[in-house]
Amino acid sequence: MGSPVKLYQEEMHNNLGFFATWLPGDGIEVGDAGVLENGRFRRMASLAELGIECKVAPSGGSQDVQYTSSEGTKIAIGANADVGELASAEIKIDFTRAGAFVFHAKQLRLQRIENRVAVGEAIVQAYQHSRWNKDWLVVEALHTADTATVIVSEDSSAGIVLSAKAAAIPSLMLADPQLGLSVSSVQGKIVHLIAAANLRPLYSCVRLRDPLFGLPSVQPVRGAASERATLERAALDELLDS
Amino acid sequence: MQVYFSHSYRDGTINKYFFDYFLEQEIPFLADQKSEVWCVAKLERSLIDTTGFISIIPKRVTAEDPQGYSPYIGRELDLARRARIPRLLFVDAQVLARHRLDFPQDAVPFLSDGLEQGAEQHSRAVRSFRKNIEAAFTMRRDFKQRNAIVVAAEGAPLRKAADDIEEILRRAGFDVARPSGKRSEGRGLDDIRLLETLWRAELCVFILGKRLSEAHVALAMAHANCIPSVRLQFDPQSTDCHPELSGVIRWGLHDDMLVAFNEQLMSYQAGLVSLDDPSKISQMQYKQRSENLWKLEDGPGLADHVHPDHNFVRDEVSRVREEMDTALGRISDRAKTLDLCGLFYDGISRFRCGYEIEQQTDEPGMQSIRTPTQFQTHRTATCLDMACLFASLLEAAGQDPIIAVFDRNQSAHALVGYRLRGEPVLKRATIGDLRNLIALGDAVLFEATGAVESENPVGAETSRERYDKLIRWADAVEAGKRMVMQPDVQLRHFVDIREQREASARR
Repeated sequence: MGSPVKLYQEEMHNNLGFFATWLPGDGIEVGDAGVLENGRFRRMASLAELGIECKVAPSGGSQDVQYTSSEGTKIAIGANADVGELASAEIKIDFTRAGAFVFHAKQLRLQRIENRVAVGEAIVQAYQHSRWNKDWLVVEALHTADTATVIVSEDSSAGIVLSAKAAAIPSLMLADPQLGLSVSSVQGKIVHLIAAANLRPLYSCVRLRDPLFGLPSVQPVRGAASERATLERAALDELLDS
Repeated sequence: MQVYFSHSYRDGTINKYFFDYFLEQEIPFLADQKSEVWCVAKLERSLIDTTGFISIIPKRVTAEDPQGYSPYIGRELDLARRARIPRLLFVDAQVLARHRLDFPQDAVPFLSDGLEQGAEQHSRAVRSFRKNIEAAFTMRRDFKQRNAIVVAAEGAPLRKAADDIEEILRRAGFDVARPSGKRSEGRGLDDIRLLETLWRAELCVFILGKRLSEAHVALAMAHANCIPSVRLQFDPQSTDCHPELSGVIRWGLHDDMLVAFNEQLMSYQAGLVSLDDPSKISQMQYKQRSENLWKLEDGPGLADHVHPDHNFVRDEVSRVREEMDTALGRISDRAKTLDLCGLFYDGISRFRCGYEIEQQTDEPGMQSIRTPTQFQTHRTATCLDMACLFASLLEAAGQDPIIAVFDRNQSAHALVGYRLRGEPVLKRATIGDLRNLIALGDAVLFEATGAVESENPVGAETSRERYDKLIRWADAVEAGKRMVMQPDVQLRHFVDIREQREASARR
């Protein structure tokens, strides 16, 4: 994986706490099982395919998210347009650092596995019956977005110009489909998705704990399940080093 | 000319307000360094050696008395009244209204939430006090330095105690007189030679039995003459050798008594500190033990400072168990775990202990962390003390506590909370992982210092949330979340206590 993408994923994770899907348009579902490869989640199976019941439920409400890299991004509205002004707008985004990015998402919603403890126990059983590869990860939560704009610069100097069909720009929410944004020009190497619908831009995954059987052999006598976590969260460096 | 300054170190804004008037009038201060040893003899000596006494008495809310005040400040005031030195008292108006007879008539009220409203009266009182002490006759006590007297009642254990006290005093450089308990031969208060011996002494030690004796008469003489005295009351039933508010130390075991006396003597000899800034004495001075020390870079080492086995922790856990009427270790759903932690939080808040910044350690790169028992004794805590205390409570309740230490604005701050039981663990935590955990609701981190009094915000809470020096539980959780989400914070350490314990067990 190239360094600019790592920078993008690292900054997104540090600030939003989730892995940024790469490529941004990749399809991914809660309950997918797979591995991390070159910063991407590569699906191998799903919990459903393995006969593991997985209850997925939305968590919390929806929200719009706008996040721009801390350095190296400059957004300007074209000379013949302004916020709130009736005109055909042009939005110019300049990047002065590889890995600089713009991430705007509309109606971002979290959905996740609800029965995590039961899923964890089922995965342990699947592992014990050699139906589960212990290197596999499970997507346990992801954000869906009604629309999202993700622009990542892979060059230290790059730029993109977007044209809006809308007569006015009510706000600088570049994921807003009402703006009718389209790419006018691109300079340098840039990965971009403009107001794309039904994206899954953020996710988090868990894996079977390692070492699973290296625990103290004598467990406390409690008369109840200890509810010890059977899963652990995948760390950012696993994604970056994949 | 020096004036004894009696105040509550927690009320920085109030102290600062009055201190500006004192500075304006160039009043030089002595104050007792905050310490875990309550030594009345030291206060008695200080009060009769100073020219005057100033006390600021703020409100100290307790469950029993919403207009209460510190009993220790009250005791200092009583000692000053007994010493008959010029005094100036500023008392919270609500406290004064409720406890009018506890204070002399010359007490000056102030409004804690409207200090400036009394500015003119306060300024005038300080000016008048300065003039008073400039002209006041100061009665100097005529005594011999390093002269002590040990007066013991009759009885074998008391004699043995007197012998050992005498030896301790000698080793500390004192010349010790030991009048016989029977020498006054019934003369009681008319025993003028005994009185003169007491006058000559810098320090008196009274070893008292259960029955009234000549030693009690001698104590009364010393008391009336404000001669610094340590009172050791033999009481076979006593299991606690800590001095009472009055200064009396009740002892049942000889060795415990000697330890307590030694602490009194060390505190007495340490004396007072000159004061040009009230914040300088606001830090609790306590004897750090090696088990208090934590290496700043050793995140996993924080687990060693989590003590679920301390009695204070067990008592609090029992209280919450009774309140929830369920086995705490079986609780795993979100709402109930939040309630459980909230009950611990509210329980600690009721002690109304104070927040303070950490004490300097002798070893670079180390920080001292109080045990739960020390928190109970010292009644003050740093953010890390609080984090380890709550982690102790949560672990004792069978939950999975987590501690996070952050760097921000060139300072560090600790939060504590829990990972919900059964939720995935973090293998290597970054700030992003922590944000993920909090965003998903799989863990809660809260502002633990909200359970101790601080005038100003300590973490990410707003001034409004820190109402009446404390933070409500719901706001403490919000403040914790806010801190984790702040863009400028860096995660220095993240410790999952249960994970750490299991890792240690594997090694």
